[in-house]
Amino acid sequence: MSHSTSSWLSQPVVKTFTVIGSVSTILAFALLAEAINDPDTIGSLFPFIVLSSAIGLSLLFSTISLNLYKLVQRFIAGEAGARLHSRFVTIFVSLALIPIIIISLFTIQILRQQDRGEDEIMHALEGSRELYKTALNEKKKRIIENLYQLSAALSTTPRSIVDPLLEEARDANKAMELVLYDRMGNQIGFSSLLSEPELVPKPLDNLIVSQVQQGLDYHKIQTHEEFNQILHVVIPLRNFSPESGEHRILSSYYTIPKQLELGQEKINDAVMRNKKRLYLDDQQNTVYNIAFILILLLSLLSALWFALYSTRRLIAPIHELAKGTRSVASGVYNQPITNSSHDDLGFLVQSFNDMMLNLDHTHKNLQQSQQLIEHQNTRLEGILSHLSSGVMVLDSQRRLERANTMACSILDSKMNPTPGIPIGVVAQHHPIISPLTDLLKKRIQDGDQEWCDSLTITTSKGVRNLFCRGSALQEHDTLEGYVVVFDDVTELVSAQKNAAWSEVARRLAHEIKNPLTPIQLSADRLRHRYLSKMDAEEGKVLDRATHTIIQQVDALKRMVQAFSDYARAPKIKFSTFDPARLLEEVADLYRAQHPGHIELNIQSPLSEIEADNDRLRQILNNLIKNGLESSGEEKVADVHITAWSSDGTLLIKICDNGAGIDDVLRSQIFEPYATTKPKGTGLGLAIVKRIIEEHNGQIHLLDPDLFSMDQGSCFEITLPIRHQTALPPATRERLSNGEKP
Amino acid sequence: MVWLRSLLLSSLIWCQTATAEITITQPEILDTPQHYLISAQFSYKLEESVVDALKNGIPIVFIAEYAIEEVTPIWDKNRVIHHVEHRFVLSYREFTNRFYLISLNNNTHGTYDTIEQALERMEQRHDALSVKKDMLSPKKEYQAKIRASLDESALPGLIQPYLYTPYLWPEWKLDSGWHTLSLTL
Repeated sequence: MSHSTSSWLSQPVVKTFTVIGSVSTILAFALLAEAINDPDTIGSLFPFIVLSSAIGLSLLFSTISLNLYKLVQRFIAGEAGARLHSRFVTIFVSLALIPIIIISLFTIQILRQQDRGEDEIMHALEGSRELYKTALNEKKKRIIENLYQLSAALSTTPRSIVDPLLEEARDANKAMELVLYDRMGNQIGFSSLLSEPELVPKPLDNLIVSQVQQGLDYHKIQTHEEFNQILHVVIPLRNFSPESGEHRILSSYYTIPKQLELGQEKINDAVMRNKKRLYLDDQQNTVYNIAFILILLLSLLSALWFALYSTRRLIAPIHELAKGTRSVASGVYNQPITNSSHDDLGFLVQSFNDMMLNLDHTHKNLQQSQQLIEHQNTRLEGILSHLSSGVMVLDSQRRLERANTMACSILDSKMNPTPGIPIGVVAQHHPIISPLTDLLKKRIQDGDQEWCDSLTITTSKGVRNLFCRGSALQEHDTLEGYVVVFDDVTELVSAQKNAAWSEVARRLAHEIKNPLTPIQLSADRLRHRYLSKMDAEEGKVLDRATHTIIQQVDALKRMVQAFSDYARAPKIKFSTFDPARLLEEVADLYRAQHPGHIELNIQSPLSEIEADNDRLRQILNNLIKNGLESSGEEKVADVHITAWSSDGTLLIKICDNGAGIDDVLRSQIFEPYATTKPKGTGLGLAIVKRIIEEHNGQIHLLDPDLFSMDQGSCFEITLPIRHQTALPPATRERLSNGEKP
Repeated sequence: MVWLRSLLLSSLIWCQTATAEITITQPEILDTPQHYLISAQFSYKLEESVVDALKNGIPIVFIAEYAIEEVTPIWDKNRVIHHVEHRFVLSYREFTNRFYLISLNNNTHGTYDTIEQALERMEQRHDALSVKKDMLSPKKEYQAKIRASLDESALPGLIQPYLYTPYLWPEWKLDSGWHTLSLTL
């Protein structure tokens, strides 16, 4: 049933209708029983029967229709228990209808057979009536014969004396009236006990005259106020005497004999009474048929209603159980079923409620445990996300379960830790992590429970050194998975290398620098002493040899000086100056040497910086010189210098369009002896980096796609404006993550 | 009982057939020096089933009613000044194959060969209601009402259900309804 229907048809209204319908139906049954028992009362009871039946039938029909509609709606909606309810209704209705139909068929047959035998009575009565008619006809016949005996006398008697003759004849024949007419129906004589003679005699009825003129007799029984019935006989009086007389007509009235009249009355009454009884029997059958139809309809609808009602009562606990089962299936455990019966179904409902209660308790415990686990997971996630190490967790099937943010950052890969994806498949989509997955695979195959190892991977930031520690996760001797923790130790390795190189440079400078001056002086002395004493040919050889020695020693001195500079950098002397001016001066110096190859772009007014002016000049000279020479010896590259201030820092970007730096060399470019030039010492950029770090700044080799030139390299220097403070935390973090500025 | 019958009849009046079995054809108020004489002619038409009942020994009683009422405001019931009824019993005698008509008011009777003849006798005008003029007040308004109908109470109980279900058996709905004539003093 729709919601709107159920809203106005509230439970009290339905109950009231049901009570009224039941009372009306019972009343209709009672009235019908009384009417059948005493048919005479049907006239007075009929309105009440119709009214109570109509109310009962309409309310029963409405209730049944409503119930069936609800049932069909529930059936279509696939509601729990609807199918079983329908089946029960069908069975109950069949059980109720079969006996009703059988009884009805027998009742119809009995009603049809009731009215037999009545025709025989009617035939007997018809026979009596025929007997009466025969007796009456005999009487008529005798009267007519007697009248014809008068014809000779009455046809020839003169008109003036006919009355006494009629008087005599009336008395003799015991007639009530004798009237003589001529052949045209005009009255001639009159003798009557019924009426007085009229002044103007009435002629005989023309129809009778014409009938009699044809020689036919006329006779008819007529009603009379006094004698009830009288016999009227009219005969023609033919005159066969040629001498006198005429054709005349004799009209006579006779009373019906009392015996015949009484017999007629009795027969008539009996006939009419019997006919009336038969007729009323027919009407009674009609009324019985109506009553039977009403009883049948009331019985059918009552049976149907009772079937619906009882099945609904029977099915209600099962319906509730089905609803409860669905609630449990959908995860609702706190809706117990209403238990209104104390039978087996009631016990079943109670058991179900107990089970639901237990399930609810268990479910709540489970939810609490789940919340605890989720809380711990969230906490673990938080811890892992704040770790400086990368962490990856695999299950026993080597499927990636978890990878923290730092792992993705170190591996330079946007790994999405989708549960259920094997790490090998992840490596196919992210080739960068292949060395790590290969190492992991090897260790797992070797059956190592705990291990640590170093490896290098190539990312967009260059070759990175990773230090990995792995462990198999065991619980109750069952392999649960693997955890891998790794750190990016590239900077640490680089620092270790720098320290080692500084020590080498310091020792090299110390060991080599000392003998160089005596070598150079000795070569110079040899040249001055023996050049003048030798002939031209030999002197030429000596001059060339000593010159070469002196030149190479100079070269060695410069190299040693470079090593010395790298190993023992002079102390920084801070002063405050305008960095824009410094940039202009350095750019002007190189513009003079290489016009058109230097471009300086200062994007905003730069703040004065607190730094070592000479050291910064050295850095700029070094980077610009490297840029100009980055295209080789024959060609001069273009160098673009850009500077701007931001967030308390000075940023200088120096880019060239030279040959660029190999990917392999990119991560080592700031290490000693890392150079792209055939004659370079490889210490320039290492010194640059050291000076910048002494200023609490940073230098980065930018990725090729971040600057506009097609090839070449691009360095970005970030320096704090005030030397006491390091770089702002945000800038430092951004730069330490390798994020591009 | 009366209210229930009225309820049933009024609820089922819509299905009354168009063929009226009893009609008032010529209602008339005759103004004489001393009296107002109210009379009418009627037309009776009996369906076959009614004639069948008649021939099967069910006497049919007809009532011709005449009334003079004082017209009162609409919320009040009219006051009946004078009311008379003429009852006619129509029956059939199987033995003589004739119809008998008896007036219960003056106990006169007649026999007729056909039902039409008997009905023709009933249809003849008969002076029905005579009311003295001094019974009526010139300041008041009066109306004459005429009605002819079947006396349902005289029918056997088994016939009476037909009267309550005119939609099934309209032939038993023999009632002209009240015909009203305005009586101008």
